[in-house]
Amino acid sequence: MKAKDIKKVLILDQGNPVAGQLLQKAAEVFGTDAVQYVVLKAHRTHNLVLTMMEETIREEAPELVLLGATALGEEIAPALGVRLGTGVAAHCVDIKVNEDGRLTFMIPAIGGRAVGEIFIPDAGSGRPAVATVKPGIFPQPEDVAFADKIPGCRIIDVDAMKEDGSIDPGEKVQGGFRMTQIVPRERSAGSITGADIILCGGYGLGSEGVWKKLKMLAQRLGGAAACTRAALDAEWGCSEDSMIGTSGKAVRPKVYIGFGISGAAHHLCGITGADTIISINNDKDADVFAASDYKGVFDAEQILDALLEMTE
Amino acid sequence: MAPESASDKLTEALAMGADEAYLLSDKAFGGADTYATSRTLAAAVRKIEDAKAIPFDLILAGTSSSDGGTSHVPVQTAEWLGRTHISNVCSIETADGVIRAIKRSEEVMLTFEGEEPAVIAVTRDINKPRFVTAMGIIKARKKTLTVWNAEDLGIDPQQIGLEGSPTKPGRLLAFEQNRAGEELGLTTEEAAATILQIVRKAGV
Repeated sequence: MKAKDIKKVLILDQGNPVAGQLLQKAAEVFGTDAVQYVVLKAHRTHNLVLTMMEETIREEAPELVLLGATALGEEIAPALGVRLGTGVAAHCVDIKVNEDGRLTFMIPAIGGRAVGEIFIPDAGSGRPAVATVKPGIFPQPEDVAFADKIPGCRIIDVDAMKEDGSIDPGEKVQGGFRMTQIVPRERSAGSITGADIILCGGYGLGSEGVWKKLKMLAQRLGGAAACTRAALDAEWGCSEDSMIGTSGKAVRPKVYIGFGISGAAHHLCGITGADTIISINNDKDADVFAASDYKGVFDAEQILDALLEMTE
Repeated sequence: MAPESASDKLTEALAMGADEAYLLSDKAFGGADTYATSRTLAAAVRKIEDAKAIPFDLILAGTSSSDGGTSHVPVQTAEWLGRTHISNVCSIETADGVIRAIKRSEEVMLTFEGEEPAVIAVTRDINKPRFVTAMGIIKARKKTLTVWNAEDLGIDPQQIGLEGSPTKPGRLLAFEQNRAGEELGLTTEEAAATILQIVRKAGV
């Protein structure tokens, strides 16, 4: 599908910042003159939102549908793909118009080691291209009321229909599966989303002991501790919530400091939004250095020890 | 759905306790995106269920694969079968014919209960897989591993492989990020001092 064929873009607002990120990005890429933007605000269980999205798409007939690649979005987007007979580009790291004017989605490929182009050639008005993007891949609009700045942007507020905005656990869902309980998750103190400074440990840390030093330093600097997939798998105690990468989170801190990280593409995809990237790795040929503002070919533990001493 | 080399993994599953295994393998399946892959898997599920004259109470899958990692296939397979799907499930219990699954999202843990056949995609913390034992391997030799190709499934050739895929791949590109790569210092102490300087300057 050519970008010029896009007349309407539908975005799902699940009640987190990603909708604003998607709206801003789409407006940048496709413009606001010839394209209408519709935002569906629906903060419900996946089955209900799926039904609402399907109905809205059939009514509005957008050519492009964008959702955050969250637990909710990841369940809705592929289902829409089958129901509408269309393609879904998952976890896009970028959306653009290529030199032939085609709508192009960039997604992680080969387990995140490269970036691949994806096209959805038969997408059109009744059969939109669907794409998901992780929160934090695209920048956050500075203006909270960003949608107001987009001429003609329409908001369909399903959430407003409920008086107190709460989700009723008894809501019936399709197929006879009922949601019977909602329990809020404990927000761990060191949440990496929104942290201004993030210290990230990779497999090169070598041990749980070194990971603990990284965590201590992160605390001292008032920041958050994160990990790569490899460090997570080493079971040193970092949580899946703190993993940065294509199968984890994308972050946009002011300062990111990586320790013992080689620089695999699937991790780098998660930090391109950082203002300043500092990397410590004892391998002078580590790929990560080409993606870093500052580099240090040193032993990660020694640097951590030095920093801990200096911040006592 | 995989190349023939995947039969090793299926044999392992039989050794871990599965009763039967099926491998869908055909050159024609190659190049399939998740839409076509899930459609093919759904066709196989239907074929198995027809042969047994009973639907699966539960179809289990992992949340995402290690290559594509889209998390699409379990959901899409469920859609082709017209069944409920729940992804990102970290706990499943059954009691008196009721399936109770806990789905983890960023903010909440949601408990779903139902009695109908469902497709549930589970996360890595659903359990710790059991080990393969020597006894398991011996027993596995007597179990069946069936290989089906496109013809066995009776599936329309236009619905499989690259042809049956609404998403088409373009070029593969190296991940690029060009940043300055300035040296932090000549010694550990210098580098650490520079780091602290940068952190303070950034005002965090």
